[in-house]
Amino acid sequence: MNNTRSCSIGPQAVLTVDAACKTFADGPTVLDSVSLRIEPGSFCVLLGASGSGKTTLLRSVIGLTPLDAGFIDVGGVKLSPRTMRNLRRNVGMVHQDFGLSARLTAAQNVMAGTVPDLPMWRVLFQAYSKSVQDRACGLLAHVGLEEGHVNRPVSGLSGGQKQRVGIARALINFPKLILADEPVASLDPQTAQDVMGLLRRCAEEQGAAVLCSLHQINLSRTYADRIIGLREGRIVFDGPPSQLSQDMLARIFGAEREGFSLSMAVA
Amino acid sequence: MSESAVTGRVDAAHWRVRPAFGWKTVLTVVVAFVLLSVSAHRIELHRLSSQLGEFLQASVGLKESSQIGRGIGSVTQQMYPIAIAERTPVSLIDDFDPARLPLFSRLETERVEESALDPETMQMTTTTVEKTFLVEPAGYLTFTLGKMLETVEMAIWASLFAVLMSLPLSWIAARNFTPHSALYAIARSFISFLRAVPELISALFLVLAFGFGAIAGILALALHSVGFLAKFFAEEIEAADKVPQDAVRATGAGDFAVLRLAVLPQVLPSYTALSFYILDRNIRMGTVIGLVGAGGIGQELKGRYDMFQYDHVATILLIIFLSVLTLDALAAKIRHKLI
Ligand SMILES: Nc1ncnc2c1ncn2[C@@H]1O[C@H](COP(=O)(O)OP(=O)(O)OP(=O)(O)O)[C@@H](O)[C@H]1O
Ligand SMILES: [Mg+2]
Repeated sequence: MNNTRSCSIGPQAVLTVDAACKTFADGPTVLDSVSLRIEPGSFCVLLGASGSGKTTLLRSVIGLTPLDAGFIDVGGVKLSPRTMRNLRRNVGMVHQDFGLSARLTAAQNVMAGTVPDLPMWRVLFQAYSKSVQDRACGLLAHVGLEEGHVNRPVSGLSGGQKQRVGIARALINFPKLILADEPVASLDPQTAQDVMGLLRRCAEEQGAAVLCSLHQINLSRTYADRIIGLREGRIVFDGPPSQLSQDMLARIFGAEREGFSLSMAVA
Repeated sequence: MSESAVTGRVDAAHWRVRPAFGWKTVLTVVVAFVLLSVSAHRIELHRLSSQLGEFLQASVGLKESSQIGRGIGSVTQQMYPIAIAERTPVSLIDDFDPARLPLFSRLETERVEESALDPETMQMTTTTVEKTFLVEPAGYLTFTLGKMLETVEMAIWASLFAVLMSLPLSWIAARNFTPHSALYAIARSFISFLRAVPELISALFLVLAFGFGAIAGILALALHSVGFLAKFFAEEIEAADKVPQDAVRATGAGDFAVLRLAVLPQVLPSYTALSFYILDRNIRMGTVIGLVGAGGIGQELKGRYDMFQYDHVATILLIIFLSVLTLDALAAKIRHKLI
């Protein structure tokens, strides 16, 4: 994997986060001056304990969680209320809790990723064009959803199947950047491997960069070409997987968790 | 939290779980009890128990009669047998043609004694005249059924209008989707106003504006229903799960797409249930607002009641009761299919 590229500071980053700060009302500081740049085509994994601010960081990139200070830039467009909707079209997000509409079918959920460009009546009647329909089917097949599930409401799908639908939706609008929030949580180890491989493959095919939060250290080592460690809202590690030593893991997850991290890494 | 779970370093000895009931709950219950006692005194609720006691004693023979028993008894005696046939004096029918009677009907001729004041002698004289009646064996029943159908149609139209008006109104009246906070305040006040005016009262005025009949009734029912539906539709929107909404928003979609794709699928079951409730309510209220002349079976009921024709009243009540039961069962079936 190209480790040097991911750490270099190039001029045309797909994502720039500059001094992002966030404190929730009567809560601790969740993001404490986080800055990072992500190059086109890179696969970055965000590691950090529960509550370290991974979801907050990912959501703030597309303005779902507004920042207190700092700015976000996606592909040269600075995030502001005015640019927000346009900026979001270039980003695909896989949400931690899937974010699927339970009563819509798998295909309808995937096609919903294209609505910003559609006229109102098409949205109202969910009348998607043939090309969108074909693309949704193609993506669902690509992420490994069986044909029989395509027209079923997602409420009847398993966790792994929902995850696949969520990934397909994130991919449908040809994003330059994919944000994936724990895309393999609640999946069995084999499916987790499949889904990570799939995410990596799709990103490579579309030339999209990926920022993906994970709890599985071994998976991060396998699929990432850059790992960012977040602890209590601060970046405490940023480098290729080869540099992720036990010391570094202790720094990310806390010294007292060394034994725990080790067992996780070995698992 | 997981850190402590792994290492067990945090001492939880001083942690306390919040009790399910606090002093606020107890206070609320006490205050409610006091207010209810005052109110019971004001509206002389004790008379309810004394009258009911009297009635129970009378029904088991401990007392000769009771006020409730006397009131109910005189009416119920006249209700039986209920009116099914329609007897119309032929003389009252315009262009009566004995050769072409309506289906299943027959003519009956009766001798009727008629008393009249003799203008010459200034004395009451009784003469016997022959009168012909047109008897339709199920005439009144079918007539009343038609009136009931009219009430049901009124309720369906009113509910349909109410749902169609409430959908856009609930968008404006939902705090998290309203285009502007001023519009939100206006919409909410408008909805509260509509709900605050009972249909019986709005029907009184609508009858003046639109004349007697179904139109006034439909409008009266629809306006009140909007006040109810739009409020609950808006509250469903506000309470809908945010996770799918965020996901649709994250694609760059606007409010309309979020409402359509993430909110509507969630709220559709409760919207259907609320609409069916409103239809059910409008059928029942539709029978009532006829009392002020706003069409349907209520208008017929009021007329017969005022003329002391309790056998006809009984027929009407029976039909209302059976129709509501039937429609209830039907609605339950449809709802089961839709949800
Ligand atoms: N909407 C919110 N309001 C208040 N506090 C919040 C909100 N969202 C997150 N937090 C707080 O921010 C902190 C970081 O949360 P975040 O979801 O970013 O963590 P995370 O790293 O994604 O955790 P996990 O691995 O469990 O998903 C937590 O302490 C959480 O309680
Ligand atoms: Mg998270």
